[in-house]
Amino acid sequence: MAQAVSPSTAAEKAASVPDPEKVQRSADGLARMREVLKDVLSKLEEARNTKDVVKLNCVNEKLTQIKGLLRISEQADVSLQEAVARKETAAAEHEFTKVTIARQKVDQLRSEAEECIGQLAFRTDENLTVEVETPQDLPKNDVTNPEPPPPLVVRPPPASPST
Amino acid sequence: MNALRRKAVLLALLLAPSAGWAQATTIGDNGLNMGEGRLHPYVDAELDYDSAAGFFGPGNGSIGSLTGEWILHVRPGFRLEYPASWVNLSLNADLDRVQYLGLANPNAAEPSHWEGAANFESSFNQKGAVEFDLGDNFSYLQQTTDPVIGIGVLTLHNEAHASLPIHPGGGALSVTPGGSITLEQYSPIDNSQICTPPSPNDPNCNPVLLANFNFVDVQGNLAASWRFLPKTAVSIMGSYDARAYQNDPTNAAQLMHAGAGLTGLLTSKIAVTAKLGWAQEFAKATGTLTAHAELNYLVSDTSNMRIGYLRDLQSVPQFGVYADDRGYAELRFFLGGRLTLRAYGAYDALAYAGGTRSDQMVTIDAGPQYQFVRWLIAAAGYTFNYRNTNVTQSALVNYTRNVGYVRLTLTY
Repeated sequence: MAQAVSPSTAAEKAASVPDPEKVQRSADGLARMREVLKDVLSKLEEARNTKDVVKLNCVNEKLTQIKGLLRISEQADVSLQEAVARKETAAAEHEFTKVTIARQKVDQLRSEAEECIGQLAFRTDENLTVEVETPQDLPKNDVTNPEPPPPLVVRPPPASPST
Repeated sequence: MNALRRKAVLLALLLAPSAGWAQATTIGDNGLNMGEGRLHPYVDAELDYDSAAGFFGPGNGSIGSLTGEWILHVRPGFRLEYPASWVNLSLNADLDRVQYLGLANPNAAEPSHWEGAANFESSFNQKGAVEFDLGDNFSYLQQTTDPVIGIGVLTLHNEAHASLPIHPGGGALSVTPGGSITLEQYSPIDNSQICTPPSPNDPNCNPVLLANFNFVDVQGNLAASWRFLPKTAVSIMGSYDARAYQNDPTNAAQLMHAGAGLTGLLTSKIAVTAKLGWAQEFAKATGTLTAHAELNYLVSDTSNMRIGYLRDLQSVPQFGVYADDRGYAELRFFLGGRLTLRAYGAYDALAYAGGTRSDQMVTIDAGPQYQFVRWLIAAAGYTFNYRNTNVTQSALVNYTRNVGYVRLTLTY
């Protein structure tokens, strides 16, 4: 799973990247996020085919977040190109940081979407509940521990000669 | 019905409200407050006519024939139940005056005697993952679990047992190690020899030698069950018994049981028991297959009908071990909140180690019980016992017994 990058760390990294490379890396990041979007869309289809509404909702939630991040990143990429053209270094670093963080977050969401499909059964949290349905007409007694047959006992007659 | 079985049924009906079909006959909120528990005193009076009450002589010192007699039981006792949050305690105890009335035979009063029984059970941390159970069953009754004995005998029986049920999580899986120590001692009601012909060296015929059969039995056991459906479980179990006789070291027994099976519901109305195992006695190198199969039709929570077959190997004096093949059937109905009907029938075929002796027994026990009010319960019934052996010198073992009884119980 991808680790989230804090904004301050991303900003420091952005400062060390030359402006032309910022544009290139941002474009790569967008391409990467679009690939992830396609991948998660296929997972959504997979979940739909299994007719498992829990999986479907889970993947759909991740997909929605990825779309939002992609939209923000596309706007940031445009702004980045404008800032580089105007030689506005601070603005360029800010937009580049947005794209960098969005890419990390999208990678994380991709991993979570995979868990929705393949590993959901092994995940539990405080919201998970298990409902066991028991037939209504079962006896109340514990029939798995039945009363054993009575022990073998004998009561021979006594003798009384009465002398 | 023998005294133990009748006592057990009586206790189940009147004194054990947690026992399934007896729930409707609970005593309720009466009883004396004892902290978090309640004490229920009771007394019952029972009149029996026993067609095989004893060998009552004509008064000239000789042994007469097996004859019938009226017998009165007066049985005061109490039950203590203490269901606290950390421990569940129960104690049942009674004293029983058994009075041969001498109405049918004037010489029949001599076997009159006192009997008694006490049963203590405790469970600690019942709701926890690790529970501890401790109990003791004591009785002094005119009966025995030793089917070899053919003479009327008073048996002092005490069994102390402990177990450590471990049921983690929801309790579907349970593992229970345990152990018990059992002591049984015999004393004759009368010292007369009644075998025909006389056999003074045979403890079955000579009551003076009955002490040879006194024994101590130490058992260790382990059971595990897994409830894979809400009312159906698979289980495995094993036990090892070491039994030593007071004056008969040659027949000391080392008996092991091991088995596995399934118990519980097949449908919502039909429950089964299907167990198969092996029993091995090491001292005499005797082993046999053991089995328990039962089909139980659950009419309701308090009414059922069951039929079954049981094969088991048990320790016994003089022979070491015996195999018991039993077929049985039982009906239990609870009607209208007050009336209980019960009928039980069984046939036992006993085969003793060595192949020199085999016994047959037939038992029938039927009767109603009615609870007029919470503190007054009446019961009546009929029991039939047939006992036969192929050993000629123990001719007294062969008898047929018919018993009719009425019983009235007052309880608070």
